[in-house]
Amino acid sequence: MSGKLDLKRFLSGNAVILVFVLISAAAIPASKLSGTYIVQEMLTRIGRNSFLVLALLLPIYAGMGLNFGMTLGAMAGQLGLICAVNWGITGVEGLAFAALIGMPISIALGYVCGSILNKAKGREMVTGYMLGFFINGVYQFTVLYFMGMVIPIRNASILLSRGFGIRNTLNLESVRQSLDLLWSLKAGPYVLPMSTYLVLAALCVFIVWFRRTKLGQDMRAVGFDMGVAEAAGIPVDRTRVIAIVISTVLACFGQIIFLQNMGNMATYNAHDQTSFFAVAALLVGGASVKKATIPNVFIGVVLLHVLFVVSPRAGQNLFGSAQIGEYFRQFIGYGVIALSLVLYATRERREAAALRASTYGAGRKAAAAGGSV
Amino acid sequence: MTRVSKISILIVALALLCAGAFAEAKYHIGVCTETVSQAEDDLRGAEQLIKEYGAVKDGGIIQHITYPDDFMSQQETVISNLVALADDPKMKAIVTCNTLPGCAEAFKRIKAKRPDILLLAALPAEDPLVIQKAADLAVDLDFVSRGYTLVWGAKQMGAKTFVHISFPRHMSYESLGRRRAIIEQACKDLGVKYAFETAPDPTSDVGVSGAQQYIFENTPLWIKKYGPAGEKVALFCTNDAQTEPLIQQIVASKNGVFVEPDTASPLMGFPGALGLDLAAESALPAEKKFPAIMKKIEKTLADKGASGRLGTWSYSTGLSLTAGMGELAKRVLDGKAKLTNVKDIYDAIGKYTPGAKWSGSMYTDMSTGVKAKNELLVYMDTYVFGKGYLGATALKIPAKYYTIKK
Amino acid sequence: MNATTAKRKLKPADLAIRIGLVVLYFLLLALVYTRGRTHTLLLDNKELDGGRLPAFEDVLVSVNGAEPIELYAEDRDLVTLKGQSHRIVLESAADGRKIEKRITLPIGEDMLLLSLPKLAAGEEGAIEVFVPLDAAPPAEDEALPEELGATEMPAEPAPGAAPSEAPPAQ
Repeated sequence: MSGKLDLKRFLSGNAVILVFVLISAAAIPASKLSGTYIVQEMLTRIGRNSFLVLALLLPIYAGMGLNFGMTLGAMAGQLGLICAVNWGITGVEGLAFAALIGMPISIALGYVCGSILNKAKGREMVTGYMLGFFINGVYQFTVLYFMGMVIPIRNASILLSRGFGIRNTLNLESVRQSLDLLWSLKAGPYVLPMSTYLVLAALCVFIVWFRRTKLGQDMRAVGFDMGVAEAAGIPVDRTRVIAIVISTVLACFGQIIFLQNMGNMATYNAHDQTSFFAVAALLVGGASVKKATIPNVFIGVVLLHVLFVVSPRAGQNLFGSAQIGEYFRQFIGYGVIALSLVLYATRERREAAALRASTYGAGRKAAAAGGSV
Repeated sequence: MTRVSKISILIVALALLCAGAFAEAKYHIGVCTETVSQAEDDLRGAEQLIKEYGAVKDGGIIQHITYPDDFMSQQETVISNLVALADDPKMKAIVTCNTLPGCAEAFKRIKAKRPDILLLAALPAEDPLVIQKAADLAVDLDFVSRGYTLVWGAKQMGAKTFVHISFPRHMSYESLGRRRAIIEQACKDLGVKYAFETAPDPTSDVGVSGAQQYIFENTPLWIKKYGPAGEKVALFCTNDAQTEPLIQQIVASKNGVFVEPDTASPLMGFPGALGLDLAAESALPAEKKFPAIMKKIEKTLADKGASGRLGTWSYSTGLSLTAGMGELAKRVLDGKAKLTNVKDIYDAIGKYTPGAKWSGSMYTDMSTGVKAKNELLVYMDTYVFGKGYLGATALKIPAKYYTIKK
Repeated sequence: MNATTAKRKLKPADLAIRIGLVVLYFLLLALVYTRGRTHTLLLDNKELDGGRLPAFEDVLVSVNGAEPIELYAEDRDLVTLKGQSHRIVLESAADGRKIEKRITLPIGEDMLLLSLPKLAAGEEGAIEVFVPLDAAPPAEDEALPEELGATEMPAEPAPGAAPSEAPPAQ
């Protein structure tokens, strides 16, 4: 193959990453933020956001696309945190408690979600997205009415003064950054949340190991072709449910890690954008609906968040108005995400066309050859 | 000389002029407000500061940023935008108005990194105890004192009855519910008859228009019911949308009295109720804009024969607090004021409300009785059209009102 | 692990593993609950029973070897403690008397009051449950500020007054 074609393939294969790098390269100097600040912000955000993005991998392996249903896990994690704050369990133990409370809830929700997605094969993404809204309603009802009314809440400071319902913002002071600070390393001007990184590393090892297990192999077989997998005796529906359950549980843990770093929680809104930002990061990192790797996750988190950090200030400095800066961030952020989806769709179509052309072309040639004999 | 070079010289000259206008600032002040679609007056307050002291990018001292519109679901952005302000080594003070959820966390991060930055929080939506720990100064509206001054004001305006109009959702709010109790007690003490009327909640199925319609139809009946012989009746409603029809009907009546809107500002209810076109006035700078609007309202009310019966705060709270906190920060950095000195705080806010007085008290936590050293609750004097300021800020409010619960 | 497998019969070994996991789950839950449970402890240096147990004139209190807190007579301070068993060292500044005690907090209580004179005298009931002043009336009308940014009560208006009130006794 010629070098020209290689370059073309490289460009089309990494178009989204390249566009992001270019925009960031233009926006960083315009933002006038210091390198130290941006690097520190990235170090923090890798620790804060990567777990949630990693939670998306398994369903992609199982061919179920981007798991927008991870919002369910995020909500379970928030319920766990509410319990930890309510019972006055602080520090890392508080986080572990939240995770332990959130786990059965997210397993149950993940099971429900997975079973429903099995009824909507091929439309998993939009179904998952809608399920998120549906469970959001249940969550709001539980937290706003049941807590304090049916579920006893002992900590008056997290309750609305009317006696039931959790307050709009939950102060997580008691567990704030307890995982990050468990072991944090100071390297020059930077602070590295080593303990959080260790948790991330453990999760990466788990994912790599899981892919090699029997279940992991089955999952990839199902993702490749459900019909073939079924014929090979793999329980397709069950495997898909397991993928979603694990993803939901990981999302639950991820949300807890995210919120412990944030230090406070918007009780009714914190999960709104969780799946959206995780999916965006993964796509920006060069993954697609069909294929995603661990490097995609980290590249994506860094690229997306660099843009989120610098674009408000860049917009402001370029256009001279604070609010335009804020709209610029949204415009660039969401615009590039849309671009990435479009690019993948086009590429997929082009690849399909190329595949068709090559098969048909070869067939015709063979036929012609056969005919001449 | 060609035209092109002339123009380029002109541009260079202009650029030099601009640069010279704000010679190398010693420090920067960050101001964070909501966008126009959420709270226009706060943003105008920040723009007022920029007009006076220049934006950082032009060599001035004000760095203005805004919150994301959906700030509740994007706490990450709220926090990181604020923390990014602290990246500027010249940044010495940060002002937030409103102080939304997430600001306290951002303040903690800023303090950890840059303990030298002054943090000023106006109109906090965070827990008082949380924001007090995180910020150097918090300023909020004083709902307790207003419970007393409202009734006192009604009495000064000759009212015999005080009608409190609200609905269950509002009454379940801590601040509004407690203020209602204070109003009731103040009525008893000042010899004014207290009455409660229920109006539909605009967020319910009747909608805003239905709730407004109800007020429009019932206000004349209430005035007749409580003032059958033409005694003056003061009406007060807790909902902003209902303020407009209420003012409209009070103006039309002979004996209706309106002390001030709940969210008091010249722009609250009056322009709509009186059908005023304020385009010309709105273009003026803040300190001239509001007096001009007040004058226009005053004249219109006089023409309609409602002089002395309606009042409001003479400036917008959001604008004056945002600009005032910025001014205070600047004065503190210049060594001309002390951050938590109450007089200095009133002076700074007062710069943007010439003629209007401020008063208030330090926040006291009910459960521990601890008086905060850095949270001030404020209120402005009421201006009665056709009569002038009432002098509510000079009042000494009896201590017992501060312990009234619902 | 949790997908229903109604069709397949469970092997005894699998069943044992699952039961083991459930037991492990509850053990972990109990462990983090007891270890992470945090209490607010009020250190109270007030005389009791009309002078039978006098307050320390000036005492240094160190909890679990932390930086000591200095308390004068009639003072009260608070510490937040994680876990139930704690070591408290009292050192009277007047006579240099040093008392070391181990206290155990009841796990279910959020706020407790420790009477230092009682603890020093070695009497029973040095620790009692503390009910915050405002929690006494029914929860209905008590409360913390609403989400709308409402605030609690200020004590008295102080227009023009300097904000800092009289400093604490010490």
